Amino acid sequence: MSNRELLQGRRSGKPAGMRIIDVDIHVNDPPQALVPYCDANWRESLAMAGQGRLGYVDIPGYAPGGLKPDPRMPGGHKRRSVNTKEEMREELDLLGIDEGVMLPDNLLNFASLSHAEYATAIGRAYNRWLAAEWVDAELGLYGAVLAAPQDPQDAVKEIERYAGTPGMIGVFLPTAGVYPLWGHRKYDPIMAAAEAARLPVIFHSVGFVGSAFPHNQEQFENHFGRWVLNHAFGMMANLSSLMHTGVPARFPKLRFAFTEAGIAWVPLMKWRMDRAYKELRKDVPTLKELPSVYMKEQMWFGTQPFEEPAIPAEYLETVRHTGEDNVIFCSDWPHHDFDHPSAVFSMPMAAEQRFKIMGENAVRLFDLPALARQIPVKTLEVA
Amino acid sequence: MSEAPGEAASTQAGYAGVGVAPKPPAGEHLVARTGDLKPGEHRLVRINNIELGLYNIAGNYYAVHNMCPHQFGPVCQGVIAAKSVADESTGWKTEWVKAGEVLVCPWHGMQFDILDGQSLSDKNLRLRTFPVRVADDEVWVLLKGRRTGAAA
Repeated sequence: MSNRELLQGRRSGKPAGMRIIDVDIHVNDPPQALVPYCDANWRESLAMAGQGRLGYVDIPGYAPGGLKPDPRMPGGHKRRSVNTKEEMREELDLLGIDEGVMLPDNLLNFASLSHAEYATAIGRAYNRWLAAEWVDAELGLYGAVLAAPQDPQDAVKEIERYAGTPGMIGVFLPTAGVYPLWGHRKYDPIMAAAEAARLPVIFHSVGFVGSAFPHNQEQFENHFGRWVLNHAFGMMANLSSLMHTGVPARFPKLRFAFTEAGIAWVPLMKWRMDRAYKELRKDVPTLKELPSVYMKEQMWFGTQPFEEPAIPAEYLETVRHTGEDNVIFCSDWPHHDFDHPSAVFSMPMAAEQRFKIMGENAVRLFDLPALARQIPVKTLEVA
Repeated sequence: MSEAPGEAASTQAGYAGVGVAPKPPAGEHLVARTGDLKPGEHRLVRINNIELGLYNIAGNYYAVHNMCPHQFGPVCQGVIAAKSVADESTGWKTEWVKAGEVLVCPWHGMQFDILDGQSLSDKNLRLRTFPVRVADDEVWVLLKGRRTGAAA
């Protein structure tokens, strides 16, 4: 069953004139795809990783997925991947998505690679491959430069290398398993480089299990227990980390995007951090304002997985508390828990809110040109 | 652990008892011959704008709309599985029941009971089901049934 067959004939119902920008789509990045782009000294190691078992975001020596001790359960749905730029464009057309920001599949686990020299070689290969084979601004296919937490100096060089490259519009900060968390001062050069390049940093976690907080989730006996927590806790932990060392205050022009954790965690963190600041401002003198002020000015939050409350008004309240100028549509296509855009834009919102969430907020986040490729409005039949 | 037969099943039994109608009722469509689908097999059928999945489960036929009420995915393109249960009757241990009667949506994995269209995870969601009538070797589907998305 191809991705095309899964999407064909499904409803779009996209409102006329709506520009849909999707800040989280995934390219399939098996080791062998990157081999030709890898520095010679690590090419063979990468090729060897590609000869082993290629699990879903779980490849030894490439995307170590960590300890997942629970049994495989029958009755699941199949893994999906997108393997070429052409496939991606066609599938986004079928979904009604005009533009998308591409993030990896397997290399979502990048931060858990412990060998820094090897990891940075893979990171550089990924960036070359992404730029050469996927990024195409005219097709609305945007890339995010992978920044290796294992070697911030190398990450800086990569950001500088791709700054100004058409279609490279952000920096991907691998979030699952990162240690220390992204607010640590060792990453300041990465934040400075991204700020100087005017490239927003994008956090994206994954269902990694390992010793790095908050992914030390080995006690759960099934995927349900972990899935509920891993993305949201990854975002919460890194947001607290960024705030506790004053990253948004020290890099005031830097923009942050938090993806694949939905938005319901955002009001909780906003209120808790503001409350903490009132009592503990002495701990965080770098922050000149309440944390919520930095969140409003510099941070954006992806919709997926869309919370789907039974009462739509509850979602609209959550959008309001998160900030209707700060919520950005994400589909996570083609992953198992992706959201169809229509699930989000069919919420009973004012047209203005709908257009902001589905695209206009992302235009502001990435400073995208006003005129972009827009796919023809197709109202597919609902059969 | 057995479950009460769903509406589709009882409706079908009722239709089967009618025998061959001289003229099919309006909205009834011939979708297969009984020899076309062995038990455990299914096929996709398109009638005008409606796409549905026709399932042969242990010799009985069921028709469900190929439209998941969750995010409108093509549910009939999903795999067929069993239902995991754990309750007092099983001592809270996992057991698998209804093997071959559970449809898994390929978009997000929501599971449905093919016999009555009921979502296994959300009692407010149901697949639209259609009455099926078998007459001799002909399988007929009546395009009239519950609306997608609303519980009965």
